[in-house]
Amino acid sequence: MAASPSIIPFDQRVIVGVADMAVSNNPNVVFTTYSLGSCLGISVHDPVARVGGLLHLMLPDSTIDPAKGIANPAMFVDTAVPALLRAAYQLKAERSRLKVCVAGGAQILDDNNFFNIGRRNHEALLRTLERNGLTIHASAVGGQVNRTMMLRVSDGSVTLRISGSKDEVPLCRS
Amino acid sequence: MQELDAFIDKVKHLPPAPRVLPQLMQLLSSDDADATRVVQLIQYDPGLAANVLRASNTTAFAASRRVADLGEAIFRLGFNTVFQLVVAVSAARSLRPAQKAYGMGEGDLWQHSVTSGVAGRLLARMTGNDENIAFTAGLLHDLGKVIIAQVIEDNSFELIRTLEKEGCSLLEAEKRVLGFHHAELGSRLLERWNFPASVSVAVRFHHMPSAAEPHHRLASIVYLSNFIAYTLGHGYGHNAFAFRSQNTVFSILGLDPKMLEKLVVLTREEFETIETLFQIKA
Repeated sequence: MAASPSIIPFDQRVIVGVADMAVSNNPNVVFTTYSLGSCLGISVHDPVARVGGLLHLMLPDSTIDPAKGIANPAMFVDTAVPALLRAAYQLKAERSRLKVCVAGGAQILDDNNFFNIGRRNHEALLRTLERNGLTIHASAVGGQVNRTMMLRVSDGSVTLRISGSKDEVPLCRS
Repeated sequence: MQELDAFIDKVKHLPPAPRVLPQLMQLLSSDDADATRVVQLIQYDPGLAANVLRASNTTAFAASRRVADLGEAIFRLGFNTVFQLVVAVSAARSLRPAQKAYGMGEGDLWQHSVTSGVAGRLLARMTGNDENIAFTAGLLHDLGKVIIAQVIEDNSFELIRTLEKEGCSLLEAEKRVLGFHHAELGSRLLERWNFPASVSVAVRFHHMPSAAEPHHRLASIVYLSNFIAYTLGHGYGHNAFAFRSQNTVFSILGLDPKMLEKLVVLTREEFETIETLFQIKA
């Protein structure tokens, strides 16, 4: 009699779009977000509750369009980060155990210009995290590059791929 | 100029000249632009005609009865939408493929270009400029990259190496490696295709708009559109943000720099409303 087939665990790949977010406690889930330029990718992970979430936000401040902030909270730092945290807490994540990683925030060349949305995103994020009692565990922010960010829910490892280089680089190991 | 022409002539698969476009632009600027003449121009290009008909039957415009006649389609969509569709259909064949030298996969440059076109027409409306010209210039601003990518595909990392080693912009890296940059090359091709000077000059100076007199307003619109498209995360390649800041675009256009983030949101909204319309079948 032939041996019964073994079940190979597989990754459930979930793409997080621009101005969007997702959380999960399914250990098979691997979140990926593409095209992080001046946008910020923010991952949270609780290793005990085994809950992970990934957010891809675009702009620093929803006061430029409060209705948009309500309709699409994942677009702005001040509405997106609280929404991501709320979703993670609903899945029993706890703030004291949350590991936060950040990538993106690219900038065009030259300082002191009107186009520094990447830097403004990053500054707004630091303020919002501080207000929520959180610090950043690992980050890869700035430069002129375009990044892809991946979070594995099973162990909280975060990897980055930078356009133009072949290898994936770990941002946060499990 | 000779250097640019020599480079263009070296390319095996030059994008097809969009013959209808310069004529349509001329028609647009004349006083007797009516639907009959537009129909005459586009009816013999099956790709164009089919896409105009398809767009007029999308949910955004569909009435109870399907449109099968070009004249009626133009009536239903409006002249501006038809014009912008014709521009997009004409450009899609060139802009859709992957541009490996720039790290762009299939569809990346296309998405960046359409987003820039949409941002361009929005900015033109806000600043009292011609939205069809702005859409065209925004859509075609990176045409030069298509030509460069065909020629240097084999040593595609030379640009990035130069850029990272020297900390310079993509434009400066192109100049060092090739002797010219994509904005000059795209502009030259548009000249050869008989596009109006406003479009070719705005494309040539889309990274240095203040030098584009008398078309510096259009060039500023294209610069800003390009930036907005990148901020929206549409169609990146390697080192997409390696370009110089041009703060003067705001004073040239009479816009408050604080508007920038709002413009990003507005462009995204506008892009969503026309996304179905511009899913062009090549």
